[in-house]
Amino acid sequence: MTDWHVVVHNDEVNTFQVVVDVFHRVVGLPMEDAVAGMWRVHDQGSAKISATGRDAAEAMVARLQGYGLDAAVGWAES
Amino acid sequence: MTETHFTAELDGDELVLTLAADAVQPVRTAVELLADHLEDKWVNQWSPQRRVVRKDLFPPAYKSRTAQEQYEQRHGAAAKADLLAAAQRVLAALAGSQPMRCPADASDDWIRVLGVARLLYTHRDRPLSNDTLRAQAANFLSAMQHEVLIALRPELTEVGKR
Repeated sequence: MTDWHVVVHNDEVNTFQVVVDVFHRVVGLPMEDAVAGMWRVHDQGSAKISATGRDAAEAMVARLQGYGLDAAVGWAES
Repeated sequence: MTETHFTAELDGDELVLTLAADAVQPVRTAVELLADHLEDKWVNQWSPQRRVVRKDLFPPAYKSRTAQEQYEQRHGAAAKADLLAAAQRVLAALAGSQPMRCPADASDDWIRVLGVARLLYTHRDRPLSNDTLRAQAANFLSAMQHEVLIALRPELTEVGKR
């Protein structure tokens, strides 16, 4: 079985506020989780922010890139 | 240009955006460039510069070239059309009188368009600065995006402090 997820990479242009706002409003994370996700991206260079199926992951990546975020699709066999 | 060239305030259910007269054209140029890119209007589609810009605007969703091509077939056109529609609404607002007023629930157009358009002038791995005219443009678009966001959600001001 494949676990599909959305990965967001850190960059030098997006502010903390924008990343948190997008994680909260677009990804649908509770605000606390949106802030924690933002810090993971900032501190680790990238972070999984959503686990889902392939189609939903791709759609979310496309939406996040539409806000200027550096998002990608990741997967792992389980 | 500086942040003082642009203000964003919430007035009831409307976002009121005030852009200084001398800042309107540079912002319009940036959004028009973005629209042209989304419509594949750039003259040399395969130029190295265009490929670099494309990678900044839309980083690969997959490391595999085949998977990336399939992803673009599935999502590329719709994603571009959606962002292009937002850019065209922003251009329509810029063509109107100042201050610009838009429903707060339509303000996402500005957050998205400014967030992507600045990537026409800078690279993701380069900190924003005022070192060059291009860097200044990216910085100004970024500052505009920040102003819009904080006007809508002032509670985010505290984010990033630990």
